Amino acid sequence: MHKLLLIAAAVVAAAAGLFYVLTIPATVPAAALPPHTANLANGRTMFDIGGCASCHATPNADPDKVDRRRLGGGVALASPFGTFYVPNISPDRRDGIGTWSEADFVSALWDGTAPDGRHFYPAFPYTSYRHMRLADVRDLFAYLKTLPPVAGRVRGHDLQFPFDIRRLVGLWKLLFLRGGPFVRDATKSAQWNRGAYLVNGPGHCAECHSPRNFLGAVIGHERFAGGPTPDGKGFVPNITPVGLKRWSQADIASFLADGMTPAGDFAGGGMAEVIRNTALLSAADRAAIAAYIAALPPRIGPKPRSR
Amino acid sequence: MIRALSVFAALTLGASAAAVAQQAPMAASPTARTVAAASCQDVIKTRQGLMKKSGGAAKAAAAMMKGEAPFDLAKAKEIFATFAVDANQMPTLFPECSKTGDNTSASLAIWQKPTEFKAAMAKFTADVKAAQDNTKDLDSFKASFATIGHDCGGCHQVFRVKKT
Repeated sequence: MHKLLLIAAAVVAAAAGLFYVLTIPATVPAAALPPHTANLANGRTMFDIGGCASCHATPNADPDKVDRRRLGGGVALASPFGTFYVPNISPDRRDGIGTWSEADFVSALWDGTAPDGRHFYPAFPYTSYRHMRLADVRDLFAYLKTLPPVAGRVRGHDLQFPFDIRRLVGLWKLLFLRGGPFVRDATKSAQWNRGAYLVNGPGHCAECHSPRNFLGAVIGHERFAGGPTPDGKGFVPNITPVGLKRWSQADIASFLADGMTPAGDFAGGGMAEVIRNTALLSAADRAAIAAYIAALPPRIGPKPRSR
Repeated sequence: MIRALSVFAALTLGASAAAVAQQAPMAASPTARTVAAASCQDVIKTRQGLMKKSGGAAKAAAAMMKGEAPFDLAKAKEIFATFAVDANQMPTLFPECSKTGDNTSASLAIWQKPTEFKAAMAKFTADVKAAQDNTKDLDSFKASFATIGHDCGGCHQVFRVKKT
């Protein structure tokens, strides 16, 4: 009996040890960052296509009144796991990221790891941001530091058990985090590659436009094929050629500029917020995104439920 | 005797008729209820139709702005007239009973934020009126339409939830 208890204790200890080791957060050390001169204009572009303001800007009931430069956080993101409260990422030294180093920021976007070693929940789409080039991440950090500090810490997330055990995200990352900085496809045009980079990296389009499994990870073979909104109330359309049957490449580019569809409708919900960002890009970048989207492999995704 | 009976019968009938007549408004007949429900669903179909018409107008506007169709001032005025009908009727097409059904894309925010919704509709109405007053050529048309398009998107951002 005594021996059985000892064996059981040893097994539990071993399992805990294994769990701990498997979930050690990955980080990028400062030594891995070569000398770099920040390009603030590029940082601003990454900020726009990255959609940072859409989640991190202090919210306002009138979306026209949101100040994109004040990243005090506070938006509530409903999800199947509970509600996430988006943090303050202004340069405030107490309530924002004012004390972060460059390496801290790269670790956040590439590995989903906070400076104190905690895992970020993938509601923060580092699953896409990890495909951003190092120079672009560093330019973005430099741009963020030019924005005004905003005081006020945002409350913690309100998640259901066991999703409130942050260390478990380490296991989620082992299962679902794939790939690193974008690698060009030499068989495709420069425009296609730029579009592929913007869409899959900072643009993180697939995070909304794909269905997810029960653990909240994007279902790879249905990427871009549409799915329910995170709060479960609406539906995000299929943007492969199956969903964009009546759209030309020019239609897509012009939609990203003013939100108008070929049918004369205007994008609403979360996409209206995206258009506020893509409207600020160069016409060349919108054209690149359109070229990539128009050339996606056709995929059938889930059907929306009719009510 | 017979006369007394007839009077009695008449009085009874009269009383019953009065009783029935009095009861009718209290317990709405099934027909009355169906009519009320039908008009609530009608409201959804009406507003969906108005939005579709506005979409068609916007599509026509886009063709002129992109140079795919020649600019025509009469056509421009027609487009804004369609939006004006929309602006006029929409505020009355969101009664409490029309929150669900018929795949409506109306977000509950409409009823949760009535002040903001009214304000958005008022801005749309004002911008359409300004467009009707100020449009005289392609450039002024583009400027007017850009403002209206921004109103469309802004309202849809907060007050519409696409379910399909």
